[in-house]
This record gives sequence, C-alpha cells and structure tokens, in this order.
Amino acid sequence: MVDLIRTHAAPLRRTCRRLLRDDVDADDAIQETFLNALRGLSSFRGDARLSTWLHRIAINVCLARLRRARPQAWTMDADHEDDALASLLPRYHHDGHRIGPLPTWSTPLDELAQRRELCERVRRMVESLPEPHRTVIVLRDFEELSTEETAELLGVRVNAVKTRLHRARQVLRTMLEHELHREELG
Amino acid sequence: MTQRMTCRELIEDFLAAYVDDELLPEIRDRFDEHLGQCPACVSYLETYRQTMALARAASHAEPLDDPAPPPLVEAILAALQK
Ligand SMILES: [Zn+2]
Repeated sequence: MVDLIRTHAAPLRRTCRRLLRDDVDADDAIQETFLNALRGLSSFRGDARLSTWLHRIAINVCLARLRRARPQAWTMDADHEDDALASLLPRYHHDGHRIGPLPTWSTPLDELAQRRELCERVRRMVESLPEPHRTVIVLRDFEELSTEETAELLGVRVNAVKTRLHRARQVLRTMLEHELHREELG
Repeated sequence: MTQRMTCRELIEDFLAAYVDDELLPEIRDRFDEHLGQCPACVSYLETYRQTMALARAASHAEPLDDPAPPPLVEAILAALQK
C-alpha cells in the first residue's frame, strides 16, 4: 500500500489541485481517494490501468466537493454565460462577419509552448474561467479525458461538454490574443 | 448552389467539429471554401488550434511533486488506518 501511495500520490495531487484550486482541499481529496479506492478495490478490473482507475476516483471526489461547495454553479443554468465571459467571445455583424477582428499574435507555436512563464499564465487563465468551463477544459485538455468520459463524470450530455469546451477555448484564445499581441507590440 | 457559410456559422457552429474532424463531407467542403476566401477566419482557426495546443503544453509543463512528499504519504496512511 505504501508503494502504491508513493507511486500515485504526486500525479493525483496535481489533478486534485487543478480541479479544487486549493492545496489543503486537494490533500483532503487525495486521502478520500485512497479510502474510496481501498473500499472499492474489489471493483477494480485488471484490464484498466491502476493509475487510470485511481484518477477517475480522484476526479469524482473532487467534482463532488465542487458540487457541494457551489451547487448553484452546477444547476441546469450552467450554460448561461455571464457578461464577463460574453465580452471575451467573438461578436458578429448582422451579415455574419466578425466585428473588428483584432490583430492577433504571430509568434510560432513551438516558440510559445517552450515558454514556462507563458504556460504558467495559461494555467492561471484556465483557473479564472467560470466553473462549468474550467472543469471541462481541465478534464479534456489537461487530464486528456475523452468527451464521453467527461460528460459521464460531469453528469451532462456530450453536446454540453462540446459547447462548453468550445466556449472555454474561445475565451482562452481571446485572453491569449490580448496578452500576446500587447507583448509583440513591445 | 448552396449558400455561402458565414463567418459566424463557421466559428460558432462548425469550427469545433472541424478541428475534431467530425464534419460531414459536404459541410467540410463549404467550410474549406469559406477559408479559401476569408483570411480573418483562417487566422481565427489557426489561433484556436494554437490555443488548444498551448493548453496541452501548459498542462505538461506543470511540475509534479514527484516523488510524493513524505508528509502527504504519512497523512494518507493515517487516514487509511482510522
Ligand atoms: Zn470568415
């Protein structure tokens, strides 16, 4: 058991911190994860990887905590977009053209992806998203779960996951555009 | 002759499925036709894809506390023994 904990605690901690945004809560969630794992060990099917199985338990524990902490963010209205989000989404003229596309960034991707401080800022940008969008981008783009798995864990339809992910990426794109364009202008 | 796809339709209705390669062939053709005539949408698509890639890069770049810090391991063991 000690070996199991040593091997898996670090990646589980990172996942829990991403979802809960609080180090103390995250460490509580890891304890709960191992407790649940121990209780459910008989349900572990050898064909799944142990790390995948533990991760799923951890994600469930974290999502349950988020639901308890802010039930209103998890209601049917979760896809209602607040004004702060709307201001970061594209807007269109009546004829369907985008309103005033801003000059965007031109630094190549491989150069951007190498920059640790930019990666750090991208993680902060994701943290700042409203809960329904943040959880979807964490599960899909950070934890690399499939759309179907994400829908199941969140208890929403596949289409809701797709819509939220698209919104989240659009908002993130605009945030990057503001940041990188300003930076390129010097 | 089908109607030309607008920038709004391209970005709001079809772009996510396009990057996942899930568009029906005839819609994909209209999508590509629009891109051929609209630099603004080409730029949007490109920066959208880069955003996805940067999100992944940001995830991989996040440090792990590996190996797990001993106090965390102790706390978990204590919780299990309760
Ligand atoms: Zn266009």
